[in-house]
Amino acid sequence: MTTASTASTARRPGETSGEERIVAPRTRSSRTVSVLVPPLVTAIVGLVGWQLLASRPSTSLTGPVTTLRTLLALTYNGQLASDLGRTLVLMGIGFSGSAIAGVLLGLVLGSNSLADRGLSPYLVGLQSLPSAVWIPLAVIIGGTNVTSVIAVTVLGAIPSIAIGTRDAVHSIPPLIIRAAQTLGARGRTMMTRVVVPAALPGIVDGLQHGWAFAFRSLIAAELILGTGIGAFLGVAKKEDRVDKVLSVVISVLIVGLVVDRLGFARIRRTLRRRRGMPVVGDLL
Amino acid sequence: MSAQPDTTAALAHEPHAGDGQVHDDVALHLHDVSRYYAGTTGRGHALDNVSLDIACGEFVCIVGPSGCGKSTLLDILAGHQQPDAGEVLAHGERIDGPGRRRMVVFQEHALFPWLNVIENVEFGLHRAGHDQVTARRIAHNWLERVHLPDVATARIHELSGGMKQRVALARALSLDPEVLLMDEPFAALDAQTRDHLHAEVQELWQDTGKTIVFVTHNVREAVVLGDRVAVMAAKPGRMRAVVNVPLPRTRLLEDPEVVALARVVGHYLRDGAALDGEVFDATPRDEAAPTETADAP
Repeated sequence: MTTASTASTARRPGETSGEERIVAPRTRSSRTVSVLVPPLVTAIVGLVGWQLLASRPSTSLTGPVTTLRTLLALTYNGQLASDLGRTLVLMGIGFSGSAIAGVLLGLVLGSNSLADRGLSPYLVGLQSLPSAVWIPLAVIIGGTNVTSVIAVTVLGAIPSIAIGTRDAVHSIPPLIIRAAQTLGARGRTMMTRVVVPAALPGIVDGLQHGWAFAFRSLIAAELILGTGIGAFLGVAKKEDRVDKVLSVVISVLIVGLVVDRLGFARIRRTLRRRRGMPVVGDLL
Repeated sequence: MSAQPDTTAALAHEPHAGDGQVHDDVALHLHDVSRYYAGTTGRGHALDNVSLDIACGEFVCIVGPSGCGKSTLLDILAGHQQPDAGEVLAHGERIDGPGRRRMVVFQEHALFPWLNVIENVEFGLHRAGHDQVTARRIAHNWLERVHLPDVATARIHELSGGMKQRVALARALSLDPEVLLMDEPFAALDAQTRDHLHAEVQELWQDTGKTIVFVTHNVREAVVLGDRVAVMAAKPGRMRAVVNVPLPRTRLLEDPEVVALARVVGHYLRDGAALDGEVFDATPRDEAAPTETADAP
């Protein structure tokens, strides 16, 4: 082991417990390098591959340089931003709706075994149902408008949020509930002061999954109904503009990533750190 | 504490405080308590006709092998479980659910990880209707009494096992319960921490005069802490003997008298009445336990 020399310096001065780190942590800069280099290598390989595919004579695929130029142009003239903005507004409405409904439903399922047995099997089934199948129904019942888009978004996210919340409630240690009962928590106080805070990390996990489901449902609905970014894609498709389509793909990817990493992942990390729970699986 | 004439009268013919420790009131009264469980091999007895009276201000330890129902017994006293048969009274009233008059200190992990230390202690005080200022004052006071004044704003996971159990003690005692029920609270602690807490619990008990029921599988711990040690047997869970511990406090695990008496209790634990007549400086209380030859229902 070459870590022996750094082991003594690795301990922070403020550390109180006698716990010695078995493996000395690497310096900050070397860790940054090891975190950043592999994805960078992947990006370079990917871009080169993309360029090679695009430079075949018969293809209509545009290369990374052309696509990036289009993306920048669309960003500057505001076209992409206004369509994407409209999509995000619908996303905000749809996700809020499914979050409220899903968490409430999940709390009921988690605390009432009769409701749980009656509903949860169907919710688990609905979880694996591609939410695009709701689109025709929403159009027939609600017409081709934003209400239908929002309905599809909500329906797409509720099952996973409800099931995630239910599982979070079920995994509260019984000792916590019994301690709270002894201390005098009952009924609504038990729900708001004990069950919800105890289940919060799990609820946030469920909301994170729900966000991904909602986003997919929304984009699918917009593609078919032609609202927001879906309208933009429809035009790009008619014009045969691969670079525009790819620009949308990239911008949607970035939006999803930003919300997930800067929003959910941060809340999740903060919550888990405060409780001394392990934070695993976070890459960024 | 108000006297309960009817229960005291009922106790007159019970072989209760014949040990010179005179208590004027009964805190907890268990009479012929049975509890069944549905196991893979059919219905079993978790508790079989268990009777025990615990006086106000008394410190009673319950020892027994795993599966003897000692935790079930504590659950019943806490109100988390109801007995299938028999009578359970706390200060003369039937126990019909968990409540603040009987606080439980659990083995571990019963503190709320989403609250910091002082918020954990305040939780019950808020539920009891105290305003924030009063709750904080009482909580601070109790954190001082369990020697944790400096960690009020620490997160629970930052505490050692011993500190966690001190917080749990403060949380329970801050509500000024009549009875403190402790379910193997120190089982997961290292020996040194446990020694400290044994001394502290004895001090707290002497200062507050609470009735304490302390469940443990550690015979010596039981002898160190208890006025009496109730010995239980398994399959079915039943009371085998109640041993008096007439030793001065504060006791230590390595006191020779404690070691010797623990050996006596250990014999009871392994083999019921075989030790009659050679009991060390303590009155065996076989008569308080239901006889083992009693007909099974």
